[in-house]
Amino acid sequence: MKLIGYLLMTAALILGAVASTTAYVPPISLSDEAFKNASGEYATLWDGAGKGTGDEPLVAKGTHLTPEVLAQLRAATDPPVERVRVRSFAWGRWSHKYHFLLACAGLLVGGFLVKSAVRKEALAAPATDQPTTSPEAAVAAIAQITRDLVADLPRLPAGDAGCEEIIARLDPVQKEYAPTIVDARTKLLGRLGMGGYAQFMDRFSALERQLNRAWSAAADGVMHESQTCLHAAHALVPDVEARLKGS
Amino acid sequence: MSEPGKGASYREVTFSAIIFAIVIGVVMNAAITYAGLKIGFTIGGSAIAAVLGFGVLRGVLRKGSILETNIAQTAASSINTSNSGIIFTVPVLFLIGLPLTAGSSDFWLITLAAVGGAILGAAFIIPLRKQMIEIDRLRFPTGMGVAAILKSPGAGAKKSIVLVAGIVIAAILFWPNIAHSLDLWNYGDIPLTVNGHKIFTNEEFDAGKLLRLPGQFELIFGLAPFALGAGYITGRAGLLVLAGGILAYFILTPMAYSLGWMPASIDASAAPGYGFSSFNRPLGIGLLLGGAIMGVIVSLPAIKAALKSVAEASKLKSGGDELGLKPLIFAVLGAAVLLFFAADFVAKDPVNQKDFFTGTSLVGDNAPTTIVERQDFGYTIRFENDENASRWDAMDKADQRQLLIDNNAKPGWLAGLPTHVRSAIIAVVGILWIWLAGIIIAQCTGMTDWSPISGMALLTVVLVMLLAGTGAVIGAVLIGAALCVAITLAADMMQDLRTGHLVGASPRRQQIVELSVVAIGPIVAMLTILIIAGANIKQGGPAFGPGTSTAAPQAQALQSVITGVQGGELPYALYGFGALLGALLGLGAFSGLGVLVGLSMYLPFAAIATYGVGCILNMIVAKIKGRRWAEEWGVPFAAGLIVGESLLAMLINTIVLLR
Repeated sequence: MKLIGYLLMTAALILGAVASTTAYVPPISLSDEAFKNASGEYATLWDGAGKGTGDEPLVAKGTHLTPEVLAQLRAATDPPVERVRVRSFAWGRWSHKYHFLLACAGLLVGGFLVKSAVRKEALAAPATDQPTTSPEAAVAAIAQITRDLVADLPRLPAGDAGCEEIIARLDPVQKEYAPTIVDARTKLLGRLGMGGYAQFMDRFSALERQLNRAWSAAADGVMHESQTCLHAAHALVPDVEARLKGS
Repeated sequence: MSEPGKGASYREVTFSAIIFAIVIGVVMNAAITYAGLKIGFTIGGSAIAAVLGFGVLRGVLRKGSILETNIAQTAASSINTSNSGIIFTVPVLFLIGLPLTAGSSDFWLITLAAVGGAILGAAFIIPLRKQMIEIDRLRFPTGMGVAAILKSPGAGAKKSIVLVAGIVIAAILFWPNIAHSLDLWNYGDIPLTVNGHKIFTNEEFDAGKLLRLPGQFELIFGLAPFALGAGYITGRAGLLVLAGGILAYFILTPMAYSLGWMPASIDASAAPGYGFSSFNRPLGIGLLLGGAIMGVIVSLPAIKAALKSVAEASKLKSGGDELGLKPLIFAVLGAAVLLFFAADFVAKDPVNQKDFFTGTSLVGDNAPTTIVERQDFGYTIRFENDENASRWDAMDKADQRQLLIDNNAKPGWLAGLPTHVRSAIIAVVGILWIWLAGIIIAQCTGMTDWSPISGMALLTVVLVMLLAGTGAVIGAVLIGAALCVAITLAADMMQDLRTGHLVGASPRRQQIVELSVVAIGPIVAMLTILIIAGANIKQGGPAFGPGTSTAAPQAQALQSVITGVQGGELPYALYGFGALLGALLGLGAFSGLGVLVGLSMYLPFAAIATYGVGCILNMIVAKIKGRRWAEEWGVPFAAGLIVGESLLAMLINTIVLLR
């Protein structure tokens, strides 16, 4: 169903875009009256029309499309003139207006099909316990790393070795688990709704930023700042876990 | 082991970082303003400032931290970035014969409006950061690249080598592109031709010609490592940009050409250019607009959550990591007042420089001393003498209106309102539009790194001219300058905040620093413009444009828009149809789809093709080596490509400036 929806949206987009390109390019086979604007004036040529002598167009840019000018264009044969580009848009002159409306309907239906299919997929997705594929497992892994690090802080070696240990332990968070949560957006949106997802990401981002800061401080060899950030991150973990459950 | 919170504080916002940022920011701003007026494009400052900051703060001073360098690049790039907004808009006044001088009030009003725009741009991203970086998780490729640079000390020597390799390769690849600025050998000198057509220009590789595709099909690749790097960092999601480009350049243009929807005078090789200006670009701008509006509607719960979170954080005693909503409210009110006064003052500028009836010049040393003014149709109209003013008074309204239209001054929608009310409405609409345009730009840069500033400037000028009248050019440029500065700053700041998130910086501190220095940029850029214009005039030529060394290509593009609006030559319906398609596209699973497709129709194919290659390379590398490897090693290399191009461009621009 999702594939059908996407195909329908693609086809509708192409149809709508193609139809739009003729909005200012009416066929000259329309009646003379059709070239009158709402103000009563005849429409004006945006570009020169037809082929005249040399590089000159048959009818110059800016000319009003009066019945005489239209007759001159309709009489052209080498090459024949089928359409002209005018400066003003008129619904009645637009040859592909119904194609455009059809395209809009296609986008609406396609969008609906895609959205409902994605929602169904998200709700039906089997839960896994791999932190590289499941957002719940990724949050659990991040929480565990944070708790373990905070617990181990008093035992970490001083100086560069301690900093390197923090960096090594936080690397999987930055490289694997946080990206897993970001990639699970569609799944999480389906489960939590936009409001719930926003609240979860708000808290998770606060936690992630503290861990990133801990990493940077460790990389700069400033252990006390790294420790402060790990404690701040640790304090945020329960809230993140609760928001993931939708509470 | 020290206890948490004890010991010397971690260096983040420091005096050295701020001084470094101001010096580098001002130098970059002036140099890039000049270069931008000369060659038509500007360079983002984040990557350059990060590399220089690294060298100065960590290398020379030997005490800089990752976060201190981040603050330095944030402030320096915010001072630099406003120049692209200024050079796109302000020189147009010189081009249409409305010169600015240090003694003219218009110059200082536009500067004031640009400063207002800068503050507004920096303030609007307070809630946008929360929504787009933390909740929607847009990638902001340059921001990720800069983070890779900043984190390189802790990431290990091997990654630093990969980063440097990226920089070196970018410089090697980009050198023959930019060498034409120094009249040196460049890609354009490669003597490869097919049927008499050159395959290489200094900036592009025409694969379509090489493959002998029909002329109406455009398959051109920009020779730009930056685009390759940005595409790689974006990855699979960026392919949608390529898809939109294929729609524009491989379906719409060839179809319109083959079906005779283009004039007979357009031959196959001219079809892509004609298609780009007549329908692809307008549809693209409309799609951007509609896509962004739908994005806002779909993201309302996220916006609500972002605002709530920012507001709650600001209630904390320490202020937390968020700047809070108060600065946003103050900035909006302050900018509204600035824009109101600027618009109100400019509205009193006369609409005509010559008498409508006699053509007598009403400006300069030879202007008559008996000039008479009338307030009609929202304009201040001047006449040579009482007699001509009475002749105006005696005309009926329809004839007066027609006379104004004949002089490129069609009355605006608000023409019937008192001046102050009109200025107030323009200020409010301007601010709302800046907010929406800021969202569009932030979404575009967040998803792809491309920023459709010219399209937004175009819509701004059109909007103001529709409201105030097509004769209100100074007002339109004034609001346009404010908007362009605001949105370029918003985009740049979002990149910097994305970098900040990745290195764990405090967004509150980043934003305070940005708000503190952001006014410097527009002032430097405006003064640079004034100096260049003065020098050109002193040499006997025009201030800008053809015949000078500063052609101001972007301002020339805006000039054609202004004359287009005055002559009734804008495809409003295409903007509308594009907006409808963009909004409906956002109804699917991904609300930003309209923005991506619109952006790709709006950009030249050469830019998106190279970007698309970067996206595909990411997918191939991920397939072969795994996603983790592609991120861990590919992103530093791609960051190197972005930085290498920026550094080389900056170096060449400096040489051009000194020559």
